[in-house]
Amino acid sequence: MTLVGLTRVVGQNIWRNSTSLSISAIGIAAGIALFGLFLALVEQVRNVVEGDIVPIDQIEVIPLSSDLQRMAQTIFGEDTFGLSDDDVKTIKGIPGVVEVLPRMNYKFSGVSYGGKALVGSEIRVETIADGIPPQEVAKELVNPPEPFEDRRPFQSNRRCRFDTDCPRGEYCEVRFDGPPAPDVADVDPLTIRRYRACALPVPTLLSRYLLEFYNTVFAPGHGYVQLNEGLLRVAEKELQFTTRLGDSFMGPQVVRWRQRNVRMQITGVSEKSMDLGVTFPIEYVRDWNDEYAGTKGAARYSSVSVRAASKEDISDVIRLVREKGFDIKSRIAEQVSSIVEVLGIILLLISLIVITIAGFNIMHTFFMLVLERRREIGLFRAVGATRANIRNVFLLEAVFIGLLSGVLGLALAYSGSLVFDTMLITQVPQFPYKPATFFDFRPWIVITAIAFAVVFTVVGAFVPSLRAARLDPVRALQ
Amino acid sequence: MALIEIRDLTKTYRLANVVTPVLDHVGFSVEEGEFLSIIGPSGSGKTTLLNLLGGLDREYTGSLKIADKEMKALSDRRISTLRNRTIGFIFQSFHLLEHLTCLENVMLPYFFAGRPTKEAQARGRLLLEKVGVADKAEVRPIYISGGQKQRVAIARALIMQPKLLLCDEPTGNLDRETGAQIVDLFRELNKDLGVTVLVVTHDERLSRVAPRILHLADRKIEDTRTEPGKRVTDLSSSSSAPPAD
Repeated sequence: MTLVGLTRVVGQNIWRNSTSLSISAIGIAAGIALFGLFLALVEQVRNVVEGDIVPIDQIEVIPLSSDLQRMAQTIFGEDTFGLSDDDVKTIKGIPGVVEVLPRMNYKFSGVSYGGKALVGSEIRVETIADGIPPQEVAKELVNPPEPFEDRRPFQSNRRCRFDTDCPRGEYCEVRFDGPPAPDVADVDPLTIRRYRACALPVPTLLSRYLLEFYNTVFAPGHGYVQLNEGLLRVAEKELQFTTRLGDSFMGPQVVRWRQRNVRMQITGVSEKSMDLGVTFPIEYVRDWNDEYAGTKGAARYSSVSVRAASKEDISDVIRLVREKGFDIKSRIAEQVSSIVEVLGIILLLISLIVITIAGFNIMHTFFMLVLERRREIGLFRAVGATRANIRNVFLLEAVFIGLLSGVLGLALAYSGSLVFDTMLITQVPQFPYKPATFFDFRPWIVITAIAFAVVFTVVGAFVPSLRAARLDPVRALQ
Repeated sequence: MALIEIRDLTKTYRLANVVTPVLDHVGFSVEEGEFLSIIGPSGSGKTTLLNLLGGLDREYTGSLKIADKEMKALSDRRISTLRNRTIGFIFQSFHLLEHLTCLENVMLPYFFAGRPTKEAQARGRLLLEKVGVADKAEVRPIYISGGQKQRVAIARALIMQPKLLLCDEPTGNLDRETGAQIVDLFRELNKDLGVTVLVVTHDERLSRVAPRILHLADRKIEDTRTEPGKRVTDLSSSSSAPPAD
């Protein structure tokens, strides 16, 4: 049977049963209308949240995390999970991006302690930290106690036993010669040389978010002194703390004799520092990762902070970043987005329930049609229709009904959105970030809605179409 | 080669563990171009035999070959093709689709043959003209008489140029005069186109037109060939004719 012939028969059938089919189609259309409306609403809420309310003009680009990648990493021991220098270049090349800041996380553990002189009690915390290229923040720090840069070229490296053996500003640091920590299990500890040398403290950045978190959650709970940027600037001498590299309260520890202490100097507060943790010049993190997690851990960046030219550009930048095969991690926006996402899923489930019920209605209608067209099916079989021909007639009818319901549903959704927008704009008082429209009908929403309509209609008509195809022609003709 | 070849054909119906035999080791063959009728009382299995011959019913034992093809061995696609190309059905109740025009009804088998619509239209019009209802091509079947409906159905049965016409009580729903005209049309088609016509009827007058009659009774078939000189040619003048259904 040719497609033209089939379409002709189907067209005539739809025309003939237009009343019963329209009633069933309305159910699907109503479901699709809700589906489209909810998707467009969630899309617009996400636009407003991600584009206007939360991240303003900054996002954090992370590698696309897939189970396959992780599996490859585990099997081959390769650090495929990370961003290379080429990736950073690609991200920098995206239109609308004005600034990129590659970040490298600690790939090992560490415990920091200190702060007694400043807050009145010694604080011990698991170290969460990353590194960024220091030149990117050098300009914004006002009168830092120490420049935010790799200080090692400027230190004396003189052999020492105590801090007092070192020049002013330096301290006596423990160092190791030999293979990095992950490989020490394979070597004789006696071959690793441990020595002490004078070093300058590592410049460290805090974030305002961390400061705020300390002041509102941590300090009141423990009765510690509250901190602010001004106080930090005054108390520069007290702004040192010690980190024991390789130690941990919770994670796996590096063998005890390979752990060592490094002194840190807080040099300022920056937006570019990580939110809940501290940030060092990237050279230190790279070397420590090399020392404690192996060279593979030091080869790639964990993420790239991206600033767009303006907040209007951010949604385009996000889209392009995703198209290039990366993912986005945006802190608060992510949390808000996940709430929006959950809300969206609930709304989608509601619309899917409506469409499913409509699908059952379609099934019922098609069963009725099969019953109604029994003799016709028998005749078709007598004049040479195969079972597949009969089934296809019904399925193609379902496809057409699905397409029509999809288009009708979207038209309903669009009309509904106009009504809602008019009501919300005229009746609801102005509130922060109130958008011009509450719905964003993206092309993918239109395509998905129509595809859903067709799929549900075809699925609904499938069993009846099989029954039609299996009808005994002799009985059907009686 | 015989167009229809039947050997030891047995057909039984099974309904709630009750087995009802309908045909019992029946055998006959029909050559191409023959005109024959199958007669017998109601419930003797005439329609069952016709359904078996048309491949609509394929549950039987024995052998039933049409155009040298064993019916029960064919796949759904092949049997459908056979019904489409080799066999034309004519039913007592016409089975015309009322939402289609007469021409579209005639064209129907063409759709399932996957042939071009234009060709179907041309051939459909030609056949409607041949069966004498050319003026009804664009009319829907509800607006025409019973005789005209059967003519349209005959045109539909002929459109794929089948070798075999299977007619199930073709005059059953027609008055005597119209029935006679339809019978004449069958004879004409048989003579002009060489199509094999097999008519199932309980109308003895109609059966007598055929040179060969198969009597179906008590699950068996009795084959009778009428001598050419004794053929009944004018049905309308026959006084022994039973009234039309």
